[in-house]
Amino acid sequence: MSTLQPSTSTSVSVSHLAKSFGNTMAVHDVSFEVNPGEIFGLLGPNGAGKTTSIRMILDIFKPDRGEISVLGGKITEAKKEMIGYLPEERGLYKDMKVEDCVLYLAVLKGLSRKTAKERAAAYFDQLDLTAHKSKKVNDLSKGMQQKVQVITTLIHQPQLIIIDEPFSGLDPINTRLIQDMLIRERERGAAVIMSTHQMYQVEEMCDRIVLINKGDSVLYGRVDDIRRQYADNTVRVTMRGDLPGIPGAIETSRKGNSHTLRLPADMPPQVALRQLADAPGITLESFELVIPTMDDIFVKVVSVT
Amino acid sequence: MNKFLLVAVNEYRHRAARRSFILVLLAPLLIIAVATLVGFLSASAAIKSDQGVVGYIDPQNTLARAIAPPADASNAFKRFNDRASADAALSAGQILAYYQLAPDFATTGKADFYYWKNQPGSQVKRAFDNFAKTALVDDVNPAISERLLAGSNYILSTPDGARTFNDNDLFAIIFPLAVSILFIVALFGGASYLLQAVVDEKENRTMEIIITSVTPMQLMSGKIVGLAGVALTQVAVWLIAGTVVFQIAKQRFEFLQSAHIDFGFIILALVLSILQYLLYGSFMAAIGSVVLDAKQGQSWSSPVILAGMTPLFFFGVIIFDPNGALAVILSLFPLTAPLALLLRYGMTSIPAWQIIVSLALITLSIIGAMWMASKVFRFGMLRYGQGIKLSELAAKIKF
Repeated sequence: MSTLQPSTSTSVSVSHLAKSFGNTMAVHDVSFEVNPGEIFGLLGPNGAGKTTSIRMILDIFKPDRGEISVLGGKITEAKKEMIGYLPEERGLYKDMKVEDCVLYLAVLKGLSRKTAKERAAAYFDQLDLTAHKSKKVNDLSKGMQQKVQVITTLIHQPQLIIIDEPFSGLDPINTRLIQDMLIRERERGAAVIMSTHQMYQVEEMCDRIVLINKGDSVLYGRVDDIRRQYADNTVRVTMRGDLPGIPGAIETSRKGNSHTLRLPADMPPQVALRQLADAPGITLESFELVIPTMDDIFVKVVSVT
Repeated sequence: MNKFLLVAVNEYRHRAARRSFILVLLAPLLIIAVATLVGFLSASAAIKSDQGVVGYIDPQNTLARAIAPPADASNAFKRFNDRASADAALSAGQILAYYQLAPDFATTGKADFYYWKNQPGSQVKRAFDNFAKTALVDDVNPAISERLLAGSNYILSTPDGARTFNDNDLFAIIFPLAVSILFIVALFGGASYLLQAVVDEKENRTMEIIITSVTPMQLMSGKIVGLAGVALTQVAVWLIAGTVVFQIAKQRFEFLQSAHIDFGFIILALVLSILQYLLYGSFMAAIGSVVLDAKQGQSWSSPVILAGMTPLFFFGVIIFDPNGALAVILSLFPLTAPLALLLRYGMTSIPAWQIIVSLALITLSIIGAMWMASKVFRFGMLRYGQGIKLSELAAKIKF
């Protein structure tokens, strides 16, 4: 797989986008940037404006307001060949043979038939679809169709990959396969925009995210930074013995020998650690800072805004 | 390869490889072959049943000098003195039927016709008419009487001699009609394919992916051209098959000996057919992009197809008054022009200016229809499972 030339410019830049359909405001004010060589999470509840934002980036819809830059400027027909898109509404030509369908969509992206055939064969092999390539798409299971769809998205080695719920309908093994493929794309230098409701995947795969709610971007930045931002100075301690008192700390939960403590806001965690380490009659087994999950943060932010 | 061509080639391959296409291709040929065979067998049977002796009762001796037909003729004629003897011969099967001539037959041609169980065909009447005519002209110069008996054969020509019309030449009238019908079947079939092709993109949910690879115009025009290829393949197969059958039939049937295929008509038919397909194809693409599914698409497209078939509803008027106001109007109105022109072609020499103006109007309509279709297409292409109001549509089609 070839590696893309590194670029200092962003792959996608979206600034104060807005879009309405009649009286319905789908997007009010959304801004974010996506860089090459990263997996960017596009998050939000149903109806938040994620799909509309994606369609504006791809020039399927024109925005009412705002600026969009794709791969260094306005989107053009030539740039569309450098974009791979897997929409939320899955679609393949049901009556076509799998290989014919993949090749057709690949040549429309500018690949020669020969190159498309070679790459398709490699992907079929990788995703265990070789035995099914001569079958009609309709004859495949949903999960297999999903894998075929991923192939059509990546076969032309795009610089920008936009992928909406890539893992829906996949079992854990195939989910891992697709995850690995997307990570390899990132390593190749592609910018990957991934829209998903699976927060654990966001934590595993995404470098940065934007959370859109009711048409506005309400959270934006690095996943680690956001999680730390929402951490509330809570620690989890596993120990043998009775928990000694720490001034100002409140035990919020306990499970066996594991205690969750919320420390006072002005107490650095190291202070609590020192106190526990010095406390007589206890054996400290582990001490960790509790960082909220993206799931917790998602629910908290969406409920408030 | 240009993307529009990629779409066109894919569409052609996808449709032409289907079993339904092969059926549509062969079905009319099979139907025509069966109909021709049945017609031929019926005609042969009818001819056989009309052969034999025909009687007549001639109280005024009007046909006394009629010349008997040659011995190998299909019918011979026997005179009877009265009805009793004629009836006896009829019931005994000695004659097919008999005529009882009225007293004023020489001036009025009136006669009563009696037969037993099965009425003989028109061949018997024609034979008796010819037999009776020989009695009327027997005292005229033989060359003139032969000419009179042969009947007239008017040939109309245009002043430049480019086209001629023979009023005995049924083929010249039937051929354009038959070809018109075949072209219309092929092209409406092609337009329906286009409706289905666009609806398929929505039903398969492939629209969103395709639109990020090709422009709406490339997609639409690629499908239109690809499916035009499908329709033209049908037409080509039918034309070749028809030409072969025609050449064979010419050897067997006397009335076709002098018939010929007017290639000027073929060229006009091809040009009109392509233009009609592009026009109706644009409508179908637009309809396909706004309907929910194929079933709704068929309902919406029916009025459009009916509009195109309007000349068939006024077939009688066009045939009998091919240069009348209605025929000319239908020939100029873009939706009806192709079929109207083809129907008129067999009956009259259409003025060149009408053909030119008609082609120009159709071409302009195609440009307008494609522009409208691309606007509607972009608006409706991602409306999965949602109906579209006409008011919404009208708001999108703005100049």
